[in-house]
Amino acid sequence: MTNDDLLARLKALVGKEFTFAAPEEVGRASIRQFALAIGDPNPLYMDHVLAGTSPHGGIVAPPTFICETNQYLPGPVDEEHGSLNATDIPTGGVIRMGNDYQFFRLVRPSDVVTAQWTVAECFEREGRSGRMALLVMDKTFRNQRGELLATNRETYAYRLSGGGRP
Amino acid sequence: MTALRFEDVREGMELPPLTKRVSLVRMMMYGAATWDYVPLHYDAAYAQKRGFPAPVADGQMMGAYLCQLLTDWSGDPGSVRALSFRNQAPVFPGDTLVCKGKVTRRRASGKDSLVDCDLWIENQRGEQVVGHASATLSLPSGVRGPRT
Repeated sequence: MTNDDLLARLKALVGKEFTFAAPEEVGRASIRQFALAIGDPNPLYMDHVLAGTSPHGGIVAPPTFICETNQYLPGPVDEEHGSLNATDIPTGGVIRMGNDYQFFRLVRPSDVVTAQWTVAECFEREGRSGRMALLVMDKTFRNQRGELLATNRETYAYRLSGGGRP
Repeated sequence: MTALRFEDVREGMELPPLTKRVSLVRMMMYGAATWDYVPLHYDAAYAQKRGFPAPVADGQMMGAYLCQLLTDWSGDPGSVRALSFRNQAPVFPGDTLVCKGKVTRRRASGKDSLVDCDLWIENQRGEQVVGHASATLSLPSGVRGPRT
């Protein structure tokens, strides 16, 4: 794909919305796995007896858990790019630039998550290593009762000129 | 865990720093835990093809680390209302990161007692790998009682 093709493809995505509903609850195991991966030993994330005596009344997930797990995406896995084949958003050569999270309600093991992604904007910028296309995504997460859990605005960068590092 | 109270916080206060050692195993664990199998985070040959000397840690891992910095300090994951950050330099296996923060403002918003912080992450060479980062926490205030 040429730079112009990529840019045109990204710009055509602006305004598009994608909704993904997880087929099952988050579950205690996936919260514990995430807490282990980030190395956060907080018992609220993995000790259901101790967490049960806390003001939260049970296990909760670390705040960013919901903004990062792709558990709600349908398969299959795209082995070349290592992502789940969920959208027509290009995943090759993308680098994440940063995130803006807002947290409204802690995620619990019994939550069944629905994520809504909206492609907010696409613009070009001259970066340190050349011309880039930036794609801004707004992601909103709700549970099975429609309660707002969190929002995540994230920016993806695609290198437009030359090869190598984006 | 004792929850931090609004009255305990002063503007200009530094948060107790949090040190994180990043290994390839931890990067792989993070990918598995988040259902993210992007080879840039674990495949050295793929990373080199993309122009990086080694696999690159997932950018949002830094968000998780900053959240731990905040919740270790506040004592309550429910206290974090907002967190923004920008990845400024790649993080590689073997890096030792120190997450740091400073209180910039205490304020009331309706019934909430809010604390704003500036945050950043440095690597072992003192380079800022995450910057332009800030967070807002809601802390208990006034009469001590059960938290909701």
